[in-house]
Amino acid sequence: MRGLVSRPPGLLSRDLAALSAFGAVALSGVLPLPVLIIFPIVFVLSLLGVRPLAGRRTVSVIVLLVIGVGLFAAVALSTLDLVIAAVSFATLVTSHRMLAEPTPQASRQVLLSGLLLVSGGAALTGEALFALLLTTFFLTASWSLAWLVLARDEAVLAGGERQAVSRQLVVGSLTTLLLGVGFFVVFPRLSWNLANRRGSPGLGGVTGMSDTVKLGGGGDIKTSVRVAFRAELTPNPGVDELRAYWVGRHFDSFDGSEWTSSQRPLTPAGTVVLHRASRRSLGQLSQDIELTPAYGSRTLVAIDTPTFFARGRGVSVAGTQPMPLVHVPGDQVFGANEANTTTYMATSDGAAGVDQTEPSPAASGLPAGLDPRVAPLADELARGATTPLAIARQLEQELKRRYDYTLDLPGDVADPLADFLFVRRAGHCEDFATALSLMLRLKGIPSRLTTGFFGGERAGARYVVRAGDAHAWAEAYVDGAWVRLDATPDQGRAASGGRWAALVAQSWEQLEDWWRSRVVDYSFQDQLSFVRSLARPPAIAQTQSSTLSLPDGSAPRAVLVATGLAMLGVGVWLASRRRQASHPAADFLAEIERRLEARGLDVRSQPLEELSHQLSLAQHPLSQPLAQACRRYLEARFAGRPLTPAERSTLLAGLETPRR
Amino acid sequence: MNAADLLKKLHAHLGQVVLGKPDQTKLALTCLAARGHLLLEDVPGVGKTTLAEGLARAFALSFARVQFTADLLPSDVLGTQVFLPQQGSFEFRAGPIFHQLLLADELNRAPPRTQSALLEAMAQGQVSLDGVTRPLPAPFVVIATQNPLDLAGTYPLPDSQLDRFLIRLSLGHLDPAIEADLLVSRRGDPLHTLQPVASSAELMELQAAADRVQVPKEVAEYAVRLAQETRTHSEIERGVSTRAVLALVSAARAWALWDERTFVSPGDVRAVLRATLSHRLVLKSSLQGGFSREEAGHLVDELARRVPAPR
Repeated sequence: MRGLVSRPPGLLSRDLAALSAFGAVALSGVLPLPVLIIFPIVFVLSLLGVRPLAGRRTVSVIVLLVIGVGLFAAVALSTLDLVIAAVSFATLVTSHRMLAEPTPQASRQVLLSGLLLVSGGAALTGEALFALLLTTFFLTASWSLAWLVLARDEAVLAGGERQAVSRQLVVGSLTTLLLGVGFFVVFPRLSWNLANRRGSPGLGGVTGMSDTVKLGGGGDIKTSVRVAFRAELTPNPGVDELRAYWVGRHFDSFDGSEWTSSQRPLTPAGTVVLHRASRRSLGQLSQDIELTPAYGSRTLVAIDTPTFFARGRGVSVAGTQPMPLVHVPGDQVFGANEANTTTYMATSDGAAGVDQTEPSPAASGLPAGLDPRVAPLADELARGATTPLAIARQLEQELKRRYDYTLDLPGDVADPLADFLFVRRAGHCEDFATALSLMLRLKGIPSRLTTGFFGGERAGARYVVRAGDAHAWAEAYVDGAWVRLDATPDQGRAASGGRWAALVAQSWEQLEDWWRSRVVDYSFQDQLSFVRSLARPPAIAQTQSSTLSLPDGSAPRAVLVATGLAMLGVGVWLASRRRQASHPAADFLAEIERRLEARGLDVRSQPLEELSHQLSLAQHPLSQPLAQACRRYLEARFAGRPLTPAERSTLLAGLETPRR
Repeated sequence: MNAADLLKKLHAHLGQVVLGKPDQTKLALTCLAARGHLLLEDVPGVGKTTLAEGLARAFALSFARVQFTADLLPSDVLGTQVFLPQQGSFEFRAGPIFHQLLLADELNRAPPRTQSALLEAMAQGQVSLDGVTRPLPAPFVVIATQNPLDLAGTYPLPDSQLDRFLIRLSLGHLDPAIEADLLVSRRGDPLHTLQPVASSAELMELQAAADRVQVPKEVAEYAVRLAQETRTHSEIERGVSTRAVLALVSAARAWALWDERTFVSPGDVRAVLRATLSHRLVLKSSLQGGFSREEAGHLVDELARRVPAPR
């Protein structure tokens, strides 16, 4: 009916709300491609006011239902995840309603399915970007809803009051948002990620912390920017680029294409002592590490060489709980339970010769089908070196010098190692580490493959390590201790980007760090301690070291509390005012007016009483029921004689269009 | 018979003599029910006197008509002491004001002294002469008429005295169709055939019923908001007084009777708004020489549209 120019203001916010809800789900990267394509098209069409589904209700609903049945059949056949199917279907429903007639009802349906999308997004992703989209959805959806209510009142839309109303809407919704944050901080809440899905694969692969390392795979993980874990180091190194080796697992058995571990786990314990710290390094590096959902593994990492793990905690649906740690000697330490996020403390000793674990027999074994050209190559590369350490170092340097780094690898080759060494002469970290390990073994030096991470960027007080920092290297058992050897050329060690990109990424990391620590992993415990700290400010001695940081400073806290109380006061005041302004009978009046409008009467230009009088003068068929309804409204509103529901519906029914 | 039925019966009855003016008749009846005095302001010959007399006859009120002229003295209205030589004493001869309904025709032609004598009696409901206070009959209604166009040799009523009239009405010319009907059907003076349908006691009952009508707080606030608006309006030199708001609400009370309601609704306030407030406003344009009653009426209508009513 209305042209593009005078489209009701609620419609734009409705579409924006739908877009942000869609974005919240699309962010997880799990939506099927057709759905991903359809929605943007629908959004643009809706923006342009093109509504091809208007008036084609039956057909389109049948199509939608068929798609829905198909989606859930796929769930039943377990080819599709239930949540993914649900959000896909919700996206389609949203699209359908957006392309239908722009009635208030359709708008409400769009917003409702948008809400479903947002909650689906919460189950699928916990990105900081999701928070942004959630906020956008909240704001635009509330504006849209508000306009849906206001749009009944033509006077508001037509006059210059539109701006005033918009301003009030913005102020109101921002206040609500702030109150919501306060509510979030203080009141108990559900844990994030109820569907217990790990980090979304759509934003890049999860880290390669699997039980085996299989050669020949692609190196796409190196391009992922997703944060695998965060670490707070004590003492803080104070550098932007940490360039540290983070040890995850050791593998000793290689069968020609795959590394596995031959070790057995010990009983779970609260603390795990790996090695005695060397006497030379008094200053051990302590790390408080948080493995994000994107990490996708239970293996604990720590800077080379890890000596001690403790204080494991898992954040899951049940809340934050202590996490027992399982030690697999010579292989890894892992958390005993599944959790969305795992936090723990580890110490590391940077000195050489700390890891004196006896090599297993497998650490000297060679695969049966090893290419005969490898041994001569090893001899050639190690020529001139005499001591085991010198041989190891020389092999490391020669491999690094002679071979190129590449992530562009074919899928399947029969012997990936031979392919690397003699055909392509280029590979990624796993190829280099494997080649080096096997050459060491050919020279009689026990060796193993270590997977972990290389890097660490500063983000706030902590360092973040991304999935793209995943790395593999070799270790040689020389002179009674394990020595780290990294044959991978330097450009292949860590994910790297430009300076500006780094800056942007860093700021984003900081935001995400904040989001994660203050929102996603903000647990019931945190709420309790926050409330406790309000009641009992921490001692001065505790705050001295970090007077500038928000949660510890007592002055900012006072401001926070004061703001919260002020907002609460304003909220109560507004609520009381609103209650005063709106009378139960006002709703009845609105219903009367709506029905009269539906009957084609002009209820805007004059008040109801005058209209009723006019109709009775004109002997309009509605005059009788309207006079009754109007009278009862006045009595209910001004004479304190409330309407009974039955009376109300009878009176309203009198104003309805007669059914044929 | 309840108030609404009585009012409607009177309305229909008056409609026989005051043709084509249902709204004005309704307001006039409302004015009486609210114990108010009525000011009819219009050119001669549109039925002002007919309406006044019709009201008097319908209620069977004692009726007197005084043609106000430039030489009319207060005693001509109030009455005078007459010396009786036989008894050697004075006797009070009651003036026309001692009637239940006094029609003060062309009130603005009388000198201010006479006007104020009348208006004082209207306000007090009694007459004080030579140290003796004599109560006026009850009910007591003054219906005054003014000719707004022929201003030569008149003494326009001061604002404070206009304030004494609860409602000001102008009847306006008849609709041509009704006027033609009138010419066809009129035989003699219809007033002579108009029979009373109510008594003065019933008028007093009406007035008592109007007094019992409640004023909800929201509606009172609405009336005050409307009055407030006249005080801040840019085109109004002087807004209405508290007495005017009282008048507005008492007229609205009486108006609620028509609808058989025991409380005043915002619609009642709006219904009587123009008739009760427009003669109490002093417009800026009127100070500058222009004199438009219509303008005040339009301003009041605009206020009614602009000031949000309680919903």
